[in-house]
Amino acid sequence: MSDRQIHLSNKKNRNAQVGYKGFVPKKQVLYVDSKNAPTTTRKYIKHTLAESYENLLKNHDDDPNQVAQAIVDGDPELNLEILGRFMTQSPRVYLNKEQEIVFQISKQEFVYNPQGEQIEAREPRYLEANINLEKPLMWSGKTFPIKDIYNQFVFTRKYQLMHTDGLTFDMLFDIAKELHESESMMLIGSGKGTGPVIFQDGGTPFRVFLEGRVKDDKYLLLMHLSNLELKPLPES
Amino acid sequence: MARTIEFTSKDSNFTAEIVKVDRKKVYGYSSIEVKDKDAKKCTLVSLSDDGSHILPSGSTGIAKLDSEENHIEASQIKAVDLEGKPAEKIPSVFDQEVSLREVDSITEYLDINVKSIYQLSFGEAKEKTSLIAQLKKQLYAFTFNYRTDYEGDDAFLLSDGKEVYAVVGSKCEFEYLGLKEFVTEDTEEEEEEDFDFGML
Repeated sequence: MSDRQIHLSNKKNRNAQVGYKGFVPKKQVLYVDSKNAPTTTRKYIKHTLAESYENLLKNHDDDPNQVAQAIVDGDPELNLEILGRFMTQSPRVYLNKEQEIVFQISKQEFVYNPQGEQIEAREPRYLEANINLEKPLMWSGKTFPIKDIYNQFVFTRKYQLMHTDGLTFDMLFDIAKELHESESMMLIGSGKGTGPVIFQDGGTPFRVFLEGRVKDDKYLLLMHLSNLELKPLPES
Repeated sequence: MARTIEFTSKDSNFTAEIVKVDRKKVYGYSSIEVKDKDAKKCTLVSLSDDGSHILPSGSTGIAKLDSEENHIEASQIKAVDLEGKPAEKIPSVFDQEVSLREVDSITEYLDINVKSIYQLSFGEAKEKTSLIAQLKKQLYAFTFNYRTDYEGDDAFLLSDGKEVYAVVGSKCEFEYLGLKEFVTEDTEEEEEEDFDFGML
């Protein structure tokens, strides 16, 4: 059972918390070693800030020739203490121009139009997840025939809705059946059902379209996520 | 520079350049600038696991390891299919003719998680007009590989009536759900019990 929950209402404004899951594409090709056993990859350290080219340049009077000679003479670009060490986690910090760790920062967000011109400077927006709040995601009442909508929006990602008990099975099955029979998608969302849906704190807002399919006594109810209309690129 | 693909289908052959479509080009974008207390720009870097080394951008790599965690060269690695047979490389779409397959239902297109979108650009307007007319009646699918590789992506040609797009992604494997999934059902036959108020 999915441990991810979403709070959803149906067209009668009856609401319930149900599960949902995403999809990872199945690998069709495996990479193996000489014993036909699977290979793996791991992140490792090549050098640190001290051995970076910028630092070597700074230590050699900003003269690339001196850096080249130093590399030939003494391998200052190699730190054998750390070179090749595997990384398991990588905490991140901010550095100032003097390459010192900074403990007090301020952030500003700059917004640009498609031509690359700055149109706004603002406090960075942090969007909080809204899929499992006290107020459920609502049916907007806006349905779109699949044959008319598939080429209007890019459905970037899919999540499958899953019942958690017998009552939510009935609820989701009925939604799927109605959408299946009408060959339509339904816009659901925050507010009155047309607002953006944010799945994680700090995540990207999406429009969510429900699509339902029914086979005998089983159902498939999908949330198609879109944040892009399919429309011509602006003339450059 | 846009690159050219030669498409071939049952009804027509045509050539088109592809240009990547993303939100940045359609709606614009935003970026966040971080400054220190003296209003000077800062850069984000990583630390080593023990926190004793600063690792700027480009200071890490990806090592390939065998089943015993020893480093191996890419040339020592074999690609195999799920049955263990040597996998064959799928050529880049720019290196050979791409054959288009007619798609039976829009559902097949709806089943992909989208990775990238390209707008097609045609040398001749006639070709574009004719393809847009075809795409009103029929969707086409093909295997997309930007570079020659062992795994190709699922791609679909479609049109909004003004332009033609290639939408590239990977097919999701869905499972229909029945009542029994996730719901505990008591299947044991219960014996009929007498009402005994004396037990209360």
